[in-house]
Amino acid sequence: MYPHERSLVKRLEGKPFALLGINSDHDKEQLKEAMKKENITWRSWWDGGSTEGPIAKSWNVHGWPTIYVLDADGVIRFKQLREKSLDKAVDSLLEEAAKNKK
Amino acid sequence: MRTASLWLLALTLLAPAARAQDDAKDKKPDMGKQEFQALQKEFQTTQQSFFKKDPKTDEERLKLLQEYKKALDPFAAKFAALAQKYAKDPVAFDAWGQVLQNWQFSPEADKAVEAILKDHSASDKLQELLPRLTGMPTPAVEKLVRGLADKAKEGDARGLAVFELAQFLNSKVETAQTLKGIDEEMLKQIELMYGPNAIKWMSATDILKTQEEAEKLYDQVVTKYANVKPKNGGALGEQAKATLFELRNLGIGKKAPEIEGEDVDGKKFKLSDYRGKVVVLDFWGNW
Repeated sequence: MYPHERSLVKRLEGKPFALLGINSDHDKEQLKEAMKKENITWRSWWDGGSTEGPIAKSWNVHGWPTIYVLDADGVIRFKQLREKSLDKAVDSLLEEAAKNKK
Repeated sequence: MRTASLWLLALTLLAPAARAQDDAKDKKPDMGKQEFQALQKEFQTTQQSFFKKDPKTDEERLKLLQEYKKALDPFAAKFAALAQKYAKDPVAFDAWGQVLQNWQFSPEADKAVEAILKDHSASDKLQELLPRLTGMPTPAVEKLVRGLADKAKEGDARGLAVFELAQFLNSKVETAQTLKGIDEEMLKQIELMYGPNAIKWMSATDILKTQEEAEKLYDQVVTKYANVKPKNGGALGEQAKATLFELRNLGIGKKAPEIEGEDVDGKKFKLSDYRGKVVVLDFWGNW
């Protein structure tokens, strides 16, 4: 599971990028095991053990998974992208951030 | 955790029809109603025969969709003919409703919109039909909800019409966003199910402009029609407020709200810790 997430994180190592999860699993200990087993290296907030946790609620999340892509200024730029489209979007935002720095 | 396959999506979209309302006072045999119920039964039986199948590969899914369309598309004209035969009768509304729910990009759908705006714009059955339509944005439905909002007289009816238009526009935005990330196989299935124009039309949505329009309309609902109560569901004000929050705070172009919490090791961290980095937020679960 999660091969695309893993490859995204690996590919962008060293770049100003972060994949952050908001996890809804019921059991935190079981989740930690699963993360080790699946080599899930990115950080997640544990949202209290359900899909109705405080973070999911404040973001009005009803469908799982839900993806948001934020630029370097914390602005929401894309939603619900997966696979290649997600790669494209992230790469374009990294380019944008690099240009803005100059 | 699995994202719904388009097949499942298609199935949930094909909701069973609203049944022609019983008029206990009418002692005369209601021919229109009988005809509609017979056609409806034929349609549903044909549908059911496909729901039993369980396609396992993408090829199988595509093939099944093709067969499904072949078997069911002819019903569009049949429902349209029935509706035209019984034009101003409530059963015509039911038949047009079927057309709009099942053949969204067909010429029959355009006829349905024309007929509803002309003869059924005040039907109280619209309250049941519209929520079923607004979830799948199409040009025909857009014409319908805009037309209804234009026609509606001031008061509750207008509140409901404005709300439905807002819901539609919100759906349009969400669909356009979802389409951006959809994979090739799903794209093929959508094209097969809804025709080649569907993707083009849905992708052409100007997201920011449509979000703006939706926001304005939800605002109107909150300020002018908050207490209007639809047949099903809570007062419009409450519903509008929730969606407005999402549009205003979680829409494209909005600054993401702060997130504060603990990771799986109990360590506290915030979203703003990552300012300066491109961030992908993934609401996920291992279930």
